[in-house]
Order: sequence, then C-alpha cells, then structure tokens
Amino acid sequence: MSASTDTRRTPRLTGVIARLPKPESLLGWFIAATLVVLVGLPLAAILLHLAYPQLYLGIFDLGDFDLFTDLWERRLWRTAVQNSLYLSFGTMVIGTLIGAGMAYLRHTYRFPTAGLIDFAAWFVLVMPSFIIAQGWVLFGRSGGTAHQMGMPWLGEFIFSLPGLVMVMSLANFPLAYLAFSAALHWNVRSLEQAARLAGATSAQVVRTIKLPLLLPALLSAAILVFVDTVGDFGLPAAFLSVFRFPLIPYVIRQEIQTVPVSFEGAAVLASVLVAMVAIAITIQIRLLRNAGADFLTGGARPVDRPRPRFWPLLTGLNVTFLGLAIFAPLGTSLSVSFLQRYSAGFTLENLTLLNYRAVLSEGSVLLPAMANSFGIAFGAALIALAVGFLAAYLLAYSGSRLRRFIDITSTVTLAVPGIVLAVGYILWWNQRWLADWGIQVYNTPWVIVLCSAAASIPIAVRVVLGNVAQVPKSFLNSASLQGAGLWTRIRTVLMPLTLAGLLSAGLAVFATSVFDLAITTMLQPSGFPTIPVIIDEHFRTVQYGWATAATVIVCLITASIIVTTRFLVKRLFRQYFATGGSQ
Amino acid sequence: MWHRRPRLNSWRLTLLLAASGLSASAVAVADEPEPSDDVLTVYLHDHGDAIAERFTEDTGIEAQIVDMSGGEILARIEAERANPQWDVVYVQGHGSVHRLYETGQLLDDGWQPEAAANYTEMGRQIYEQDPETAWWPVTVNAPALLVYNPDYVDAEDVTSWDALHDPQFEGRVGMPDPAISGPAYPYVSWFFEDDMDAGYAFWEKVFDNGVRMYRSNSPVAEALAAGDIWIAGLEEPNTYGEVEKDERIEVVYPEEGTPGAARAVGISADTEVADDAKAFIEWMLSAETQQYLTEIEHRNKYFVPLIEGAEPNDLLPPNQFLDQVTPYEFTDYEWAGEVEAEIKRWFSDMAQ
Amino acid sequence: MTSNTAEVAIHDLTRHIGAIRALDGVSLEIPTGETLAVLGPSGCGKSTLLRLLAGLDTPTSGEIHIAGQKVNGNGLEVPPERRPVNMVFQDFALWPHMNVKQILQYGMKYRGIARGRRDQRVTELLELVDLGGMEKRYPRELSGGQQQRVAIARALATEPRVLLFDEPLSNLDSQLRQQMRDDLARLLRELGTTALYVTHDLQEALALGQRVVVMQAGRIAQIDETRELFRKPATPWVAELVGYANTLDGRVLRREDDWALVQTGQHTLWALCRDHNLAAGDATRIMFQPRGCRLAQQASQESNLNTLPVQVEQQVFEGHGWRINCRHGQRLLQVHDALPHEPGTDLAVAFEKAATHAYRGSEEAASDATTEATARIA
Repeated sequence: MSASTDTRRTPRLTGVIARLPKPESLLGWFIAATLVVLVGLPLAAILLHLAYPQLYLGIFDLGDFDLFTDLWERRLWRTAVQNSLYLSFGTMVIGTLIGAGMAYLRHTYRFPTAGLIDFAAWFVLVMPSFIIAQGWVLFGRSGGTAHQMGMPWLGEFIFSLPGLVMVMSLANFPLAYLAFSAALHWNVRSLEQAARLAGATSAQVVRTIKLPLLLPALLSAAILVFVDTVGDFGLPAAFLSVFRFPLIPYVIRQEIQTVPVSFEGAAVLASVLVAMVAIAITIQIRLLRNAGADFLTGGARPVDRPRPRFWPLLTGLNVTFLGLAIFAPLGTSLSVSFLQRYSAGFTLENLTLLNYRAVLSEGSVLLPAMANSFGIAFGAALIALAVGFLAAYLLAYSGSRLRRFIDITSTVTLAVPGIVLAVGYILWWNQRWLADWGIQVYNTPWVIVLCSAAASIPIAVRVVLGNVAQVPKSFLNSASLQGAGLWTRIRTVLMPLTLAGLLSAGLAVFATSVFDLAITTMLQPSGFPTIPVIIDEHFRTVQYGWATAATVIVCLITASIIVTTRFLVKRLFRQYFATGGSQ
Repeated sequence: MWHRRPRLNSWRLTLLLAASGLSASAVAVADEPEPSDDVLTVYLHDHGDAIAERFTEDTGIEAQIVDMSGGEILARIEAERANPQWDVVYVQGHGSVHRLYETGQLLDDGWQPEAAANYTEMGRQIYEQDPETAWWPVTVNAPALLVYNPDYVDAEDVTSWDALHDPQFEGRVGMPDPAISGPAYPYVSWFFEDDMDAGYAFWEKVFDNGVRMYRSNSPVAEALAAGDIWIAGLEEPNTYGEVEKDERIEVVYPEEGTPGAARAVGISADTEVADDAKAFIEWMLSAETQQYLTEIEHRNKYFVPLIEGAEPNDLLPPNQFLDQVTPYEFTDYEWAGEVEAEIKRWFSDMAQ
Repeated sequence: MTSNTAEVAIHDLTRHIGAIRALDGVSLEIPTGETLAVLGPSGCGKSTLLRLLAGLDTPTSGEIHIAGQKVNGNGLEVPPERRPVNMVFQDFALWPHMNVKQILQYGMKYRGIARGRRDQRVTELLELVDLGGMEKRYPRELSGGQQQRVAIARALATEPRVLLFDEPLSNLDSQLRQQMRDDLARLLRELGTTALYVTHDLQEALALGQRVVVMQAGRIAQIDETRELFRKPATPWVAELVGYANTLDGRVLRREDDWALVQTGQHTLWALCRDHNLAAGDATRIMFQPRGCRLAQQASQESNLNTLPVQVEQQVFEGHGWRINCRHGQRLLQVHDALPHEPGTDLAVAFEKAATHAYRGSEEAASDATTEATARIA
C-alpha cells in the first residue's frame, strides 16, 4: 500500500538535455521568427521601397521621394486620398450613429423583432464586403431592384458620395453596434441609481453619468468603423464597373496591375493608408487609456427593459433598417441569380436556373476556383491556427522575453488592411535575389496562403487567447510535474480544453480566406483561378447572373463545410465539449 | 477569363501533406522549385485552349496557357520583371511588344523563324521595318472600328472619329479601358501619333463628352447592342462578331483612317525552354496554324493571316463599304512603345 | 554541501523578479522522510521556493539538489517533467476533460510506470485516499474534498522522491479543511515520503510539518521543530506569527544567562532572551501570548509568573471563552479567560516568565515607555 517505497526509479537527469535551451523559449523564438516572416518582413519591404524604389529588382539606389508629391499633384492619387477620407469620415459618423443607435434602442426597450438586430449585425459582419457591395450595385443600377420597387431615386442616390457613405455605413454598422452593445451591457445600473438618490433628474443622469461613461466606447466604436472603411477593398472593386470613385485601396491595385506598373507607387499609397489607420488607432488607444473603462466590467446585472408605448414605431424602424441592410443588397443578389437577363427585371418569364447550370457545368471556371480557394483557405486556417494557438500559449503562460514582441506584432497586424499586407507580400517575395536563391513563393498559391494566414493571425490569436486564458496555468504545471514535456502538455491538456475556441478560430479564418478579394486579387498567380477573383471578374464584365449564382453556391458550400466540421468535431471529441464549462 | 495551368495541380497535394505536418513546413515546401519550370508558359489573350491543344497535338510539346486581357498581360510581365514566370507572350499591340524588346525583356539571340520568309505583304509591312527584332507579328486587325447603334444614331452623324465628342451623343459614348484591354492602347495612342497635344486635346473632349469606360471590348459591344451607349470605338473581331449575330451595330471606316495593330509574339529573355518557345513561334507562323486560326469556333473568330498560303475567313470584310482588307494605318511601333506608360497613366488618371 | 541523508538540499537560493527579491539567499535541507512546512504570509517567498523546487521557475542564483542530483545551476536547468518531484496544487488543477482514472494514469505514462501495473496502482491509490470505485468520475462530479484527494493521489501516482504541497487546503471550507488536515497528516506519516508543505495557516504548518520554516520577505526567519518554534520564536515577527499578540516596550535592567530583567513603565518583568548581545540599558520588546495569561484580583506572588496591573476595557465573547481587552498604561493587552469581566474593573494579569520573550526593541519605543512611566509618576 505504500506509494513511495516500491521501485523508486531515479530519473536520469541527462545533463545534455537539461542544458539545452528550454523548449518554451525555443517555441518563443520559433513563433517570433514566424511572425517576422509572415508580417514583419513584408511590412518592412513596403518601408524599404519608399526609400529604395527599385529594391525588388535588386537595385539598392536611394530614390528621390518625388512620388510623395504625386499625392497632391497627381489627380488620380489626390482624388483617391480625398475620396478615401470623405468616405471613411462619413461612414464613421453615419455608421457609428446607426450602430450605436440600434444598440441603444435594443438595450433600452423591448419590442418585437429586436432580437433580429443581433443576427443582422453578425450576418453583415461575416459577409465579405465585396459581396454586399455587389448586391448594392445590382440594387441601384438602372433596371435593378430599386427601380422595380418604384424608387429609382434610391438607385441613383447610391451612386454618389452620400450614397456610398450609406452603403458603407450599412455594411460596417455591426462594428459600432457590437462595440457599443458591449459597453451598454456593462453599464452599471447602480451608478445611475446612486446619482438619482443624490438628487439628479433622469435627464441629468444621462448627461452627467451615462454619457461620460459611454463616450469612450462610442468614440472607439467610431474609430473601428473608420479603420475598417478606409482599408476596405470590396466596395471600390464592386462599384468600379458602374461608378468611378477612386479610393486608395483600389488605386493601389491599379498601380500594381496596370501598365505602367509602379510597385513604389503602391508602396507610397500603402504607407499613406497605414498612416491613416495608425493615427486612428493611436487616438483610440488614447481614448481607452483615459476612459478608465475597467471598472465598468463589474456589477453588471441583466436589465429589465420596458416595452414602450411607441413600440410599433420601433419595430417599423427596425424592420426598415434590416430590410435596407440585408435584404436590399443580398436579397437583390439572390434574386439576380435566378434572372435570365438582369435588365429585364424580376418577372416570371425572366426566371431561370440557367445561371446555376452555367456555374456548375463541366468546364466552368468555378469548379477549379473552388478547389483552389478552399485549398488556400484550408492552408491559411491551419497556419493561422497553429501560429495563433502557440502565440496565445506564449502570451498566456510564458515569461518569454519575446512575449511583448509577439503581442505587439499580432496586434499591429489587426490594423493593417489586407491590401497593404498584400503589397508587402509582393514587394518582399517578388525580389530578384529570392528567385536567384531558388525561393519561389510569389506567383505560387503559397503566397496567398501565407498572406491570408498572416492577415488572420491576429483574429486567431485573440479568439484562441480568450479560451486559453480560461485554462489555469496550474493545469499545465501539474501535467509538467506528471512528467509531460511541453508538446505533451499542449497536446493532452491545453488543446482538448481549448478545442472549442480553436474550432471557432479555424472556421472563421477559413471563411474569411475563401472570400478575401483584396489578397487574392493582388497575389493570385497567373493561371490560378480563385473564387473571389472570378466572381469579381464576372461581375465587372456585367455577367451578373453568373456572378450571383456563383456567390450563392460558394456561400452555401462554405456554410455547409462550417456546419459539418463543427458537427463532426463536436461529435468526435464529445467529452472535451461536455467539460468545457467546468472548473 | 482564367484557365488553370496543369502545373498547379500538384500544389493542393503538397498543401495537404504540409497541413498534416507542421505549419512551418509551408515555407519550406514552397521553396522547392516547381517542376513546371520546364513547361512552356504562354501569356496570351483569347482562344488559348484551342491554341494549346493544337500546338501540343502538332509538336508534342506541353504548353501552359495563361489567358488574360492584353493590358493585364503587359502589367503582369512588368510586375514579374524581377522574376519572370512566362516564356512566350502573344498580345495585341506590337508597340507594347516592341517595348519589351527595347527594355531587354525579350530573348534576342539572333534567331529568326524560318516562317518569317513567308510573310504576306501586310506581314512584311511590319516585319521588314526591322527584321532583326526579336518579336514577330502573327495577325493584324483594327484595335478599334468606329461603330454606332442605328436605333439611336443616324448614319450621316457619324462620319469621322470626331463623332466621339459630338455633344449630341453626350453620355452615350463608350470605350474600353487602356489599362486593361489589350487593343485599347493601340486604339487610343493612334490619335497621339502626329501630335501628342492633339491627342490629349482629342481625348479630353471625349472625356468631357461623358465617355463610359468599360473593362474590355465585350462589354462595350453588349452596351452598344443594348442601347446603353450609342457610339464607340470597338475592336474589329468583336465588331464583326456582333454584326454576324445581327445585333444592331453599324460600322464606319472614316476618312482619316482606321488604326491598325498587330498581335505579336516574343520570347522571354529569362526563359529556360527557349527551344520550345521557338517551336511555338515557328508553329504560330506556319500556314497550317494560320489557316487553323481563321477557322476555330470562337466568339471573335475574325483572323487576318499574315503568312502566305492561309486563306482569310469569310467574315472578312462584312461591310458594304469595303470589299477588301480594312485599310489599316499602323502606328510607328517604336514610338508607341516609348509613350505607352505616359499615355496609359494619363488615361487612368482621367478615367475617374 | 549535500549531506547523505538530505533528500532536498538548497544552497543560497535567490530569485529576483525585476527589482523584487522574491527569494533572497535561502539555504535549507530536508532529511529523507521529513515533512517540512513552509509558513509565511503572501509574498514572503514560500511559493517561489516551491516553484523553484518543482522547476516551474528558474532561480537567479543558487543550487538545488534533489535526491542527490543537482537540478540547476551553471546553465543546467532540469525541467519539471524530469525532476523526481510531484505537487498538489492549490486549485487542485484536475484536468476537466479526463476522468479520475485517466488523471491518475496520466503521469504514470510519462514517468514510465509499466503499463501492466497502472490499473492496479490506480485502485491502490484510490483506496489510499478513500475514493475506491470513483475511477470513472469526472472532476466536476466530485466534491471539493474528493477533488482534493484525487489531486493528492495524482501526486503520489508518479512515485516522486519529494512531494510538494501548495496551500492545498485553502480552497476548502473551514470544517472540511480541518478534517483534510488531519487525514493528510496521517497519510504523510504513513507514506514517509519527503514533503514540502507550503501554507499561510499556522495550524496547518503545526499539524503537518515535523519542522517549520518561517519565511519573511524572501528570507528564512526561523527554521525549527514545531514545538520549538512555538516555545522560542526567533524574532518578534515570528512571535507575532505564532500568536504572541501582546507586546510591551522597555529597557533591559539586567542579564542572567538566557534571562533578562526588563523595566517597562514602572514594572519589571523577567523574560527569556536568546539574543546575548542584548545588554543592560538596551531597548527591548517583550512579547507573550494571550492564551498563557490569567486574570486575577491581585498581583500573583508565584515566582515563575510576571504580573502587571490592568484595567478591563472590553469583553468579547468568542464561543469557547472570552477575550478580554485590557489596558496597561498606553498598551492594550489581550487575555483569554473562561469568564467575562466588566469593563472598568481593575485586575492583574499574570503570565509565565518562561513564556515571555524579550527581543531587541527600538530606542524610540523604549523612550516613549519610559516617558510615559515618568509622566505617570508625576
């Protein structure tokens, strides 16, 4: 019965192994190096090309920086910068008002259809922006839904700056909605009640307590909207064929994909974009630092929301809004996929399944494109997940000196628009000396895989970190004392306990990578069709039926891949999910 | 439209293998030179599949076709300058191809195809300007014909290119985008040849007239047929294709002339399969191939052979005004290559 | 350096975290089979000591030997999984996705216990901790005490040379804690495994440790047998920790061997004093325990007792008796008594001279005490 007297094995403390660097610090170096390759070098390449414009050809000559003057001297660039600023500021204001307003109504009053807002917000958030924008183009074009519904003015309105601001606001309101909802959720009633007992009227409470407490959340939600709008590539891509409104992301593409090709021009515009984002993020960090929002996290209680007398008004408003945000673009896209001729409108004799047949028929470019894009997304998801998971492990548990570097790198990338990252990838991987060394990443699918993974790592890190942080370090320490090495601990303890988070992160990366137009369009190797690019191509060549049918099919397939994977993983590892909530 | 090159089939397999291992291997796997390096890669626009299939059939040489619009091909060649991925380029606008030659991007080892001896008179007109150059015209056509939709426009109103800036057609003028469409550059640059300023002035007036810019010629043709636009410059094969379909399109051959440009072919200076590339060019310039190209079923099957022994197809010329090959006016290709960047940039800046 | 009988030998162990000296030159040995309790408030370095032993943290300097093997120093750093130790965690750290059997066999697998023996060993361990038949349960299906015992069984499962306990009882409610304390003490005696038990709870340290290390600010304040610790706290700080709640300041009048005669106010007291540098005239601090005090109407004449006059200020009922807060001059003294005493009553408090300890005190406090006395005389 004695636990200690029998077969006491003296462990062999082989000095050699014990003297090697700790596996944890090796892991730290590995992840840091991976982030350098995936994010650091491409971004550094952009900066280097500002100074050495012909670096990619291996020519190390200092440039004369006169490209920067083109920002105001060249009409296209000047207009693009102005337009980007107008659109982003406009969207920041309108989108935030819409998002925060909806959040306020949702959290203050009870009315039928209120729950739909949450659904709509998430739905619009996960929808690729170019697909929403395509829906709006189809909605607004002459002969489109707006015309058929007897609102041609709405159609025409869309192809104007205020119209674009509206479209962008409706596409980006979820950011403001979700951010502001979170703030409202944590709004502590007792603070207001204390003010009331101190003699403040209801209106004074709003002014002196509620607003000051919510203002930082409101402003940072606004900046979120700004950042997402300024780097958006989908809207200019979709609107270009109908309404020329140059925006920086699309001009970047033009610099690289049309003669005269100017990598250095793309680098200049990319750095302008990054500067705008950086300024916005800096402001946000300032706001959050001064906000002292931490204490709002305690003491929140579910609030009993009243149903006001004017609830039909709220419901009507909500339904109109949701109709505009979801039905107008996506409903139009769906309906167009069943139309024989777009311009003939939604009539019985114009209905057809021919588009679907064309899209799915043998020889259709959609089929190889799907194989390619799903392959890319799968690879990107695996890499982002592996890096994200290990980075989250280091961030949560390790005292590694590289922790801070990993934290900063993975956060910075969050703010870098996909188009900028793609420019970095071109400038880095398309260098002559790499080719001379036989390293061929540019012009192969790998460059898309790596770039998509890099763009997704911040999200993966954040999602996984949320789960990892819930696993106490002692779980791993105890495994360690049971004799389990680093990889065994991660495999047998951490991975099972964070499986749900890994699954969510992986599927999120997968879905975004399937539809990432900015990155694939910039990095697509010649002769390698991908889903977003072929949909975009068909759309721009006015093959609306084909484009929308392909969109519908790819969305359905992606959704079913996600649902099936979820189901299978949950089934296969049932015990991990059953225990997720304990401890 | 894109076509998949066979060489990329293997990558998905590699991906799965890498996926089952560690993410780190991703970079390592990508580092391996692709086995495709020794497969002939051709950048071209239109009927790529037909060409590749027949070429392999005739010569036994495997070819990978990358089918993009002409503007995209030129841009991609620029973008790949550090590390070219192509072996042969075949694109509309011999001025642009000549620019590649001038900037050292074409293989120039003194080789000339034997078939060059068989150029027709029209072929020689271009080829013999400098028989030493390392690129070769394959066919010629008009990058743009002046066309209109007779439902909206009276014939007497369209007699010269100036109709493009006639205020009565304001907002109803269409053109392809020189940044993307291959034929659009030889088309627009034709107006600059005598006098750059006159060219700018002409197009500025067209822009002031609210010209609608389309990605390529096909949407121009569709918009014209649908009545969205009334008048346009439209590439010759497209035009005849629409005419053959009985779409509402009329053609004008104005007095000041009709621009002409060759589709030309050249070999990359960085190619590792020079022999295959030369075989491809020899094949393209054979009478049999030229005959085949006049016959293949395609939307734009209009093809003017430049080699003796190939007969033009019966699409030529369909217009009541002509009973002969279109009287093309070829621009000076050296000049066209030199000003390409300037003119294209000007258009991309104007087109907003 | 390493004695033959020591299972754990620690020499001059230091751990700096930034500017903080979490551990500052600690040396100690644990003989084979001994349970050493480490006692101290949070932040005293006791957990750091434990983590360094387990290999969960790396020392800034110093050496650790476990079971005769050096495990760190000079670039050598044996990772936790290769040290012959195991640990019971404060939060038990039972992996929620494994059942009890999987949890117990986890370490057996990696510590190389033969496959054929594992099942039997699980049964033995579970019986040892009184959890027979619970193999299939998941942690969430166990009570707090049961989880605790699984955690102990897991630590034993790998047959470690040294067992480490990180405040394992602090997550249990007070009643359960006492029972687990007794059970654990019995178990440790039975097993005879060398163990290091970290706690901030005096009762636990006394119940479980054969010796106790008291730690303060990263250093060892005292290391002693449990009873000795109680009888002879080495410093005022340790004294306070082990329950010497009453303090008085004064000056040494005279030294006699281990004894000092101390003047505090107008009174003199005899106290034990192990500090032989403390000489007549030096400032001193007297400490004694509330439990050792008796209240009486008059000063005691017994020669082994010190007595002081006090006035009752407050009586607090504590269930098993009364705590009487008394005033002696400016000082409040606590006395435990079976009976209540009315506030305002003048009494005398008596306590054993042998249970009174004198330490070096501060000049200032001593002067204050003297002034106060002078004032009262005036």
